[in-house]
Amino acid sequence: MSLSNVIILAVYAGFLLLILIINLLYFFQVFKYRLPGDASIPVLLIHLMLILAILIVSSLYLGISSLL
Amino acid sequence: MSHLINEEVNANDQAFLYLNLHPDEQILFVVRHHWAGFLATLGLFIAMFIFPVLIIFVGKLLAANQFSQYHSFLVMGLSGYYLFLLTFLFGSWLDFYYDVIFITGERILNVNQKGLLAREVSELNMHQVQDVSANMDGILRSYFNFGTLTVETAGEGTSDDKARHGLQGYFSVSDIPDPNRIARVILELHRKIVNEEE
Repeated sequence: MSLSNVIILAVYAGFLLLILIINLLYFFQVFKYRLPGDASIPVLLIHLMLILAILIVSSLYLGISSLL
Repeated sequence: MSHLINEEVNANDQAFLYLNLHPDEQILFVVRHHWAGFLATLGLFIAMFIFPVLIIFVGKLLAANQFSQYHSFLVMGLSGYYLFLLTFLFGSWLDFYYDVIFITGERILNVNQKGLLAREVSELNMHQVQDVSANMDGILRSYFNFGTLTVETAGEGTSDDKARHGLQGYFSVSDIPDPNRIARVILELHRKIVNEEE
């Protein structure tokens, strides 16, 4: 693996970490300020599922394409 | 509209502790912004969602062989972009949805979510209310029945509108569902409190 690839991967990992931290802050915000019976939890779950779908699909794609 | 104006609220729930309600103070209405007020942000999200797909489509038409070389980086870039976009959308939604107005028998409490970590709670006593007006301008607002609620107060108020100055305060909130009904409720509560004081 060349140095430029390592740098790109490191930048991508840093970016993913930043996204994770921001989403964790959102997570705590929802549980701190949600009101009984509001739409916060269903919307949070949809958001988490979409985030996970993007991460899983892109990781699988990158993993499989590197093997081929 | 019923999900935007909640009238059956248990004020003893722990979720309302931060409001510091007085003993025996009941929450009569919990009002959130109308969903149509979020349409502009949603439109921006959809445009930003489609934009890279268009770029890739045009790029593939113009230089198909260049794309296959950088396929992995493209997937990484796209996944990063869509992760950012989803985070932006969810943050904007929280900012929008967590702006809440609580109308109690004694006060109006305006909770204003400001970004990720800032939250402002301003309150107005019912007896300070001088005038309440509802403003619905435009086709969308008239059709979906939402607009700006402005409460003129004897004291200091909160308003984003710099043009409104003077001794009186203006307590104004935009994208309120059924603002005429809310205005009427506030005026009736004010009248009731004034009559009780007399």
